Amino acid sequence: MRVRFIPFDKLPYADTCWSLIEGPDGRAYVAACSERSSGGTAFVLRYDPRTERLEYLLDVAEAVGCPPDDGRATQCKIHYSMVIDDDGIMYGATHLSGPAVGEVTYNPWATFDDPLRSFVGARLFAYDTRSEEVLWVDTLIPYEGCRCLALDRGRRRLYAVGYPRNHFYVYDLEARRRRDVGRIGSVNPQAIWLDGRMRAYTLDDYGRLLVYDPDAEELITTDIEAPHAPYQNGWHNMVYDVVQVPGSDDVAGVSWNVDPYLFRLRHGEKAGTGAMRDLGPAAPGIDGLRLRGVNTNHAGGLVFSAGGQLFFSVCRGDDYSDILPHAPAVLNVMDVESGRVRPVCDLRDENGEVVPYVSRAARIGAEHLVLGTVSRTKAGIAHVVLDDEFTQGPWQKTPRRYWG
Amino acid sequence: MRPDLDDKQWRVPLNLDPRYKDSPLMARLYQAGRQGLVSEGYTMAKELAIRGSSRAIPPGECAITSLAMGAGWVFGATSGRCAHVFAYCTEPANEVVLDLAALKGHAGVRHALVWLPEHGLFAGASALGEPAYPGGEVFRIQPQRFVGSLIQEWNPVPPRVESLGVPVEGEGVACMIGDASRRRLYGLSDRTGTLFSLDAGSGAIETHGLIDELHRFSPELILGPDERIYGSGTCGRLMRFDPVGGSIEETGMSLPHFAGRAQYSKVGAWALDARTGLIYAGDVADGLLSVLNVSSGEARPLGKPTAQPHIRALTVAADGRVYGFAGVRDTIGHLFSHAPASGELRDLGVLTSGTERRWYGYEFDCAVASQDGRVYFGESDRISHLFVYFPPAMA
Repeated sequence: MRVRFIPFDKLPYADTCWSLIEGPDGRAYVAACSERSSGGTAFVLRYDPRTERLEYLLDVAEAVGCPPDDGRATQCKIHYSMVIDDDGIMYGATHLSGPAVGEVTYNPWATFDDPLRSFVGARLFAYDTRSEEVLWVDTLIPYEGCRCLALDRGRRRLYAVGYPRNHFYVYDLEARRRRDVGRIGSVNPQAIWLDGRMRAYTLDDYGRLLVYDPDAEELITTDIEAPHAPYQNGWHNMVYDVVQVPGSDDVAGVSWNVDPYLFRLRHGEKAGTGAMRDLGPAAPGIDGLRLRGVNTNHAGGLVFSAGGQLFFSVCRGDDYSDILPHAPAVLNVMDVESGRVRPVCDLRDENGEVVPYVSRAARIGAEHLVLGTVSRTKAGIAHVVLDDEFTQGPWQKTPRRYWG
Repeated sequence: MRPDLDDKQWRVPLNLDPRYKDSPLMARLYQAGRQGLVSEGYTMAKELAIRGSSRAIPPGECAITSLAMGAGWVFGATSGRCAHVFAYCTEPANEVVLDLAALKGHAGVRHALVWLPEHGLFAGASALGEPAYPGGEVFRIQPQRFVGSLIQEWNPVPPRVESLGVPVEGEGVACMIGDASRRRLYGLSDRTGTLFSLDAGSGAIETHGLIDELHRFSPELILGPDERIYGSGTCGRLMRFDPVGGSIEETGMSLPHFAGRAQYSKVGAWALDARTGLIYAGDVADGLLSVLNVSSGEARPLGKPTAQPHIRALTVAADGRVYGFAGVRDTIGHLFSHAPASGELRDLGVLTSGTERRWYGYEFDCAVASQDGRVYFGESDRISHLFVYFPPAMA
């Protein structure tokens, strides 16, 4: 297993990478974010693991018409809000938190609708990854950031959750019109996913499954709950990452929680139904007694191997002393039928660079994993070249992912 | 077009500039930027349910738009797909929310819930924007005491709910208040602003005319210290209804406003301090808090307690402090307070809770205060809670 960290060398103030998705051209599209520096803005990059070439495609702030020195909170990041249609058109929506030039923080609770300082809103851009042109720009959510995005190709619509008010939105790509479905909780889910019928799903504050039924145009709160540790009551058990199980309409996901659990959801025929299966803790052995944060044993970067095994990466937070651990995250693999997990490797690259946190993952071909990472030192992505044992199997291509 | 990054000259961000990175002022700047959530007093967000035992009033039906104090109870009513009336018991052993009634066919009860101890609870219904709406009924609801406690073996008895009729045909109830001494309810209809009254005993309804001939009325009424009914019309004119004379008249007072903005002047919420006889009024246009003395005819602005317009909820706490909430709909509003003794106005930030549910409260439309010092705020969001606020002891 070869691990290589690829820093965003041309962006000295980039600090995180949350959004990473495979395009139809078999390359990884990546958002370089700059959320901790005054006036920082986001960029879209492209990485081809076959050639190991990183390209800097788009200055997002410039593309959406919000220069970093306009006095407002900046267009500093794209969270889990980059999706690419089969025709190569990317829909990206921006997120907030980066302070304006000359400021050190942005606080939406104090400045939400401030006419001069507020984040202008999640800007939505349509970007042709082939011609490298921005086709159009709109405001997806005024004043708020976009936490996550999903694309219903058939109905030509996007689903989104805003931050910090945590409303669920439906956006019509043809009419360029937004509908606010309303608030779903206090804590943002980190993903919206779709089933084969193009119903949209996410989890609420307590890990309850929410389903948006596009036929009835309604958001249903179900009694289906994502698994959590027995000592917890489900609070903060929103979804972090979710991926389609190859060869089925099921998804596998993981919660965003202290002691995160993996799950497999079989979507039901009728909207609001389904079967949730507990795949166990991502970091077994946590007893709930020690002081732990939500990122201490964070799990993310879910993607299936060619053989149908689920890769995911877990923070090793035992030396937890800050937002991020010092130790490298562990890349694990799970047999989703038996629930058996084994570690594959530590995410430390050949030059000693440590990857402590993985946000998203894409598999390119059978042998390449590309990981969005958050590091203590440098912003970048990680490229894992898989050993042969993981490259064999019927799923040489991953199912296309239409959510961030 | 691809960005040209090879020759780009990057400006060093202020917070990463080595010259300032460890400056105490930089630390202070960071600290200042973290504030904004309510940081004084104590708050609980109560789910609108027998928590852990029943479902909460559903999302989309639970926006709390009316509150009324009863003895040992806080009564509330919601707006959304279907209006509900609920009761929150303040006794420790029974401290839960009971969903008393769903008012089918009605989408709102807005500032229109009245508790008259000898007669029960009254709710005035509305359904904004429904052209075929026959009109908002006034309901009388008799909550029943239940046996036992909500800790163990509870058996609540469903309340009796009866309709007393529609005060103004084809219109909903915009607001409703009670006058316990006259055993009457007073309200406005929501399209024309017709003032009506209702006898709490017999249920007989009377109408008394328009509060404003242009129908530019504030959907608010208040019982003054002189036992007359006050409302507000065009340009914030303060109107008065004398139940004895039976006529609506102009008081000569107007809501204070910023220069040139009288035309937008409307009451968003108001509250009477029964001890002083002063009425505190929050305005919609600019979020200005004012005090009205109907005895002297004086209307005086106290200031703008938050950076936001639209004061949506206001109440006078047991110690005389005024608590309110300001913020435009679909944004994030702030809690504020006013201390009449010192004249201080304070923006207290976003009303948040770590108890019973961890929750950010962004939108509130009503507030009441109890004699024991608690202040209750009705959250009005797709998912809503009754916020119980315990103000800090007065310095």
